[in-house]
Amino acid sequence: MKTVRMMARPFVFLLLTAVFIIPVLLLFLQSVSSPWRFGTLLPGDLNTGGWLHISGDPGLQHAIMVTVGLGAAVVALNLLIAVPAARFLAFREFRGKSVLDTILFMPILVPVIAIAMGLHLVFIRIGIADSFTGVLIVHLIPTVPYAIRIFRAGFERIGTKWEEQCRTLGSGRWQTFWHAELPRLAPSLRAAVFLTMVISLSQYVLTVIIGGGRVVTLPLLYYPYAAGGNDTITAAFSILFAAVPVTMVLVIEILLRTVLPYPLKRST
Amino acid sequence: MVLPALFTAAITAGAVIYGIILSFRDSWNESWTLEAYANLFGHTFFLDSLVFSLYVTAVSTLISIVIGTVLARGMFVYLRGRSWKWLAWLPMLFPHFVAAYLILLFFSQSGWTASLLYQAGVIDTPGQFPVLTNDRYGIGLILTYVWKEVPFVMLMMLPVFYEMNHRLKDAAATLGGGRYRQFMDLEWHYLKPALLETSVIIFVFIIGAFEVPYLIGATYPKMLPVLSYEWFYGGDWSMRPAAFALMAIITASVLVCFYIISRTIRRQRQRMQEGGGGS
Repeated sequence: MKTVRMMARPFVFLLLTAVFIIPVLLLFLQSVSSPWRFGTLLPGDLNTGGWLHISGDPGLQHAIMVTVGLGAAVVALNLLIAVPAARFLAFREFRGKSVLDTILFMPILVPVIAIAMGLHLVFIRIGIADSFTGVLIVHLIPTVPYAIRIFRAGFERIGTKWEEQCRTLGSGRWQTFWHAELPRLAPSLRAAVFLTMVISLSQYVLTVIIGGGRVVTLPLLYYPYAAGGNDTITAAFSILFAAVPVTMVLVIEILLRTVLPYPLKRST
Repeated sequence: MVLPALFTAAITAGAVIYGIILSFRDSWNESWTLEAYANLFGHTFFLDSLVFSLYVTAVSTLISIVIGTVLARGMFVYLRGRSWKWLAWLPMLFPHFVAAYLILLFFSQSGWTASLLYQAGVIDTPGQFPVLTNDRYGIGLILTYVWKEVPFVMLMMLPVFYEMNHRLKDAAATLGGGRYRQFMDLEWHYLKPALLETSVIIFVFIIGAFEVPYLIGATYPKMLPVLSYEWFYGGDWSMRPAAFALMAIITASVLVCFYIISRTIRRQRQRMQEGGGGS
């Protein structure tokens, strides 16, 4: 029985590899070759047209700028909003904590399209519909609850002992956070930045309704391609979506390493 | 400290309440009426879409949960601190609509799987490959969601396997418990709250998601959010309140279900702690 299970493990891993990695690999191959005809399993040529199109189209270029700018702003606001809230929820005990917990988690439960439809008229009235600001605000809704969860788990892991130690040594709140807690929160920070960016990049209907077609992000341009465009270009476009959050996490990593005077723990 | 976070929750609540108000107004927003709900329940599309949405969502959630948990159980020892473990999270890098496109590349009638079967001599023309995308059985939708959610389930379940007191299994074995009893009496109690929580998150996400069915869903029946979007943006203004009514119903059901299930989860976790189930 044991040996059967031991042999099953590598098999499970192989299957996992196949199902999760092969599609991504093929996507990459498709992005550098002409659209595959029916019956072909591997690329027949090398075609850089897809990537040239992605890097050359002015509309796409503008959308990349808007998307990255929006994503960076969403990430920054998420950190400002989620870190204090997560710290509070991790270290304080009070009546009604579970109620507060549920309220903060609620935005994830409501379908984004319901939020977009409900806010549409309100945003028109207060004049932030069809604007970058309006889109930025609504992108916070599906992201903040996740950021809070991630940082809360991070704070709970490091506990209050560092804070107590710092207090004993006479440091203030900000010093405690900067010197003791932030370096230990690095794994949570990576996860939060990554997830926030991916979620922001995944918003189509929220951006369409609140942005009114004026705020053109990458997902808005992606749909016509995916629904029946050239596969080479669409594949390259698809990989671009993965490249953006990866780049963002790298930037944060470099920032952390330059700003913080401590060697960082590797993610666990 | 929590005030800024409450701000996002407040906007959400505002949007939901305003949406509910609009669902009780006529299409010119001039008077109170139940017309929208009458329109909604009287519409033939609604019932078909409701059944279809519940079916796609339930099947996707169930398959993702089972595969994700089995993988997490089989791999947790190997995934601890390995540098290649990020490969398992690869699907999380991509937005849902990119996953839908991948499914199109793989399972459309002229896609990669069809090509593979052609090479293997099973089929001769693309037409012989079954319609698996934009199909009325929602297979393309289910494949997309399973591919995307399995890594998420693994991510949620792995900590449970790490926290589990595995020595208890030996204790059960010593007491004569077979593999089934070991699982039901020990692992299942650890897994249950996390499984419920993960299922709820996935279910709620899929039932309210627009992006995937907009790309890979069938023309008929439509998933509920797509139906709502078309009524909201369609030329026929008389259906706009019905679009709000539809979303109001989904939102209300989702919130009530979440409330009930999260209470159950909290009770289960409490019982585990009181029973000294922690390692």
